[in-house]
Amino acid sequence: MKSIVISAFAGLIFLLLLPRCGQNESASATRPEITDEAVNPEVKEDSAEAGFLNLGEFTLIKKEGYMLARDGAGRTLAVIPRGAPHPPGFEPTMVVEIPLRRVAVYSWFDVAIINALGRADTIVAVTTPEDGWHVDYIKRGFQEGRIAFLGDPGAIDYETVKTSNLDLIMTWDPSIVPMMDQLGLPVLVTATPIATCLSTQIRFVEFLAPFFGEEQKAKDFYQKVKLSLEQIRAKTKGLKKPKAMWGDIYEKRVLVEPGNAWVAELIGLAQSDYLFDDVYGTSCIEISVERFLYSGRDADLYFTYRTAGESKMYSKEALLRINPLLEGVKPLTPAGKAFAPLPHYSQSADHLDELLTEIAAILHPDAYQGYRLKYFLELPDKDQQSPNTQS
Amino acid sequence: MMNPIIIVATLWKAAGSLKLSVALCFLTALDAALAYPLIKDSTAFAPLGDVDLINWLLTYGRFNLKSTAWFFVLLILLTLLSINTFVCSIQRVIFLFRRNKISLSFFLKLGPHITHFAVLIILTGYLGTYLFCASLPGRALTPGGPPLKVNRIKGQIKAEIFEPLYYEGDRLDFFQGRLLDPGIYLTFIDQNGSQCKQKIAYGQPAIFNGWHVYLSDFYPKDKSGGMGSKTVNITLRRDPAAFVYLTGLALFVIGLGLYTADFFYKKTSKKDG
Repeated sequence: MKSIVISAFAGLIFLLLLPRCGQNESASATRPEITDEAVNPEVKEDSAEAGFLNLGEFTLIKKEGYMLARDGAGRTLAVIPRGAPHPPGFEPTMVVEIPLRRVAVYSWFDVAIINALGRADTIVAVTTPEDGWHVDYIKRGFQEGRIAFLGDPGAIDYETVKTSNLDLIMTWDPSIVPMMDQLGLPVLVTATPIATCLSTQIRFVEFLAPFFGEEQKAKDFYQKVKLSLEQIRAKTKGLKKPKAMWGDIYEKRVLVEPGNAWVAELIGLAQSDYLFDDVYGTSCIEISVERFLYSGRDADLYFTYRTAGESKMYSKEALLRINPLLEGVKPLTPAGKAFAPLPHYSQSADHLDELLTEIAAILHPDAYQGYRLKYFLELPDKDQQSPNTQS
Repeated sequence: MMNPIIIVATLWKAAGSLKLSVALCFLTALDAALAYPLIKDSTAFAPLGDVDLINWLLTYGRFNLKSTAWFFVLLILLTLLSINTFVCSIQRVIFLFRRNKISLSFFLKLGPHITHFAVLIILTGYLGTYLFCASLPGRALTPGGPPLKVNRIKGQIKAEIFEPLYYEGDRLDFFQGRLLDPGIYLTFIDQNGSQCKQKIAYGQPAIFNGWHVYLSDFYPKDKSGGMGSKTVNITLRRDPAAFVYLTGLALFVIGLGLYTADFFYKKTSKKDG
């Protein structure tokens, strides 16, 4: 008996150590599992057929005559066909009647995904003013008087909300819920406390699709993005891994994309090392300046949060002027490469396949010979003219 | 044909076997150890506290088997371990009753068995929680903003202004200006209009009309954060099984007390005699 117990505990210790043996120092060995699921989610497709869709924090469950939607804040809303009786146990503002006809949208990502579903015509209010938009379908909406500016996200105009006759507000800010309850308006929280993974990023369209009755378009969109991911993986397979970092130093804070964010997972999928792979949490997570600079010494590529056109930052020199601390970051020397998103980058999730391909092309320019950047600007060493002409 | 009484007696004896206990404990530990790397990147468990267990098993559990299979195994192992503990404890208590007169030392010897029964009650309580607890997660409040109306709690909840306590020391420079205590006070208004004010913090829920109000998150977490907006995220829970595992915990403490007393009683008896 004694020997059995000793052998059993020895076995347990061996098994405890086993999962750690395959990990390398940057923990990137765990990556292929996540990315495989993003590219080949057959299991998830089976679940969708069974009426269950789970994407990170978001869930759709089909019930008899209605659906349950769990949003990014963990709230469960009932999604019913227009005119159908409300299911019991749901307060009126927790019931959404579909297909949606008039929505207010906070996030640029959501706006772009709705456009990918071909239903940009349902967007009647946004929280970015007209001059903050770089996509035609929203600019046109403003010009035609079809889209209203709700006000800044921190101080929206409730009168405009009332007069917009909305079916739903999609927001990243759950603090508006009590006020919207008073106005009798349902709210869908589309952001999560933890950064969105790659799988959720490319399949989020499937979560929003039933709200607009556009499930087929969501499938087509997903297939297109999935194909681009497969191509990225095939093109970058076996290439030498560049080291990349994504973030910025601001006046008092250092913010980066954590290892669980979709960009970090994409970098891993595209045969590259993400230097903040061990950081876990929300998108734009705060880390210490020492850690940022330490990783910066090893990096080959640097992606800044600062939008090229808006911060008047068109060169490495300009970036160093804003943040002299960045001097030790290798990509900001002539030996490395730094990239800034162009103003329309954050509003172009409806071209997710192109965004993913562009990031892969930046990581492996040799595999994408002749590729012309559309969403990012490669920062020159010295100041030059505005990049807007390049987009 | 075998006598059914003999079959039951054999099964009863096997179910209370100590070897089975060791094997089940080992397998449970092994299962939990294997689960660690599997749950690290999984979001499937997040709704477990909000959705009842059966529905969770049929949806999140079933369709995320890569990261949830261990949990199905754990449920089976815990069920077997509970049966084993129950049978084993009953066998031992019967044995004690047969071999001992009712005395102080007899009661003290019941200590370990009471802790075992307490563990079973705690497990039953948790099972009850996962099966029957009502949960309303993701409710947000703005301090000074409109009250949150939830029909199910028969009242309204209002967030008072933050009374934050920031880190002002100079030993940890990185934590300068970080929030140490959000000092969040909620006002509860019942259907009659009467109000009560309660403080909430992580692990310090407020109680209103039989519902526990937990702090899930809050913003900003430091002086410079939050982009100007202040938000308190709460989760409302009503757990009819809470008293079961609280009873189990109390019983466990009693059992542990008896066990400790028995240890000292034996020591003193040895010394005296």
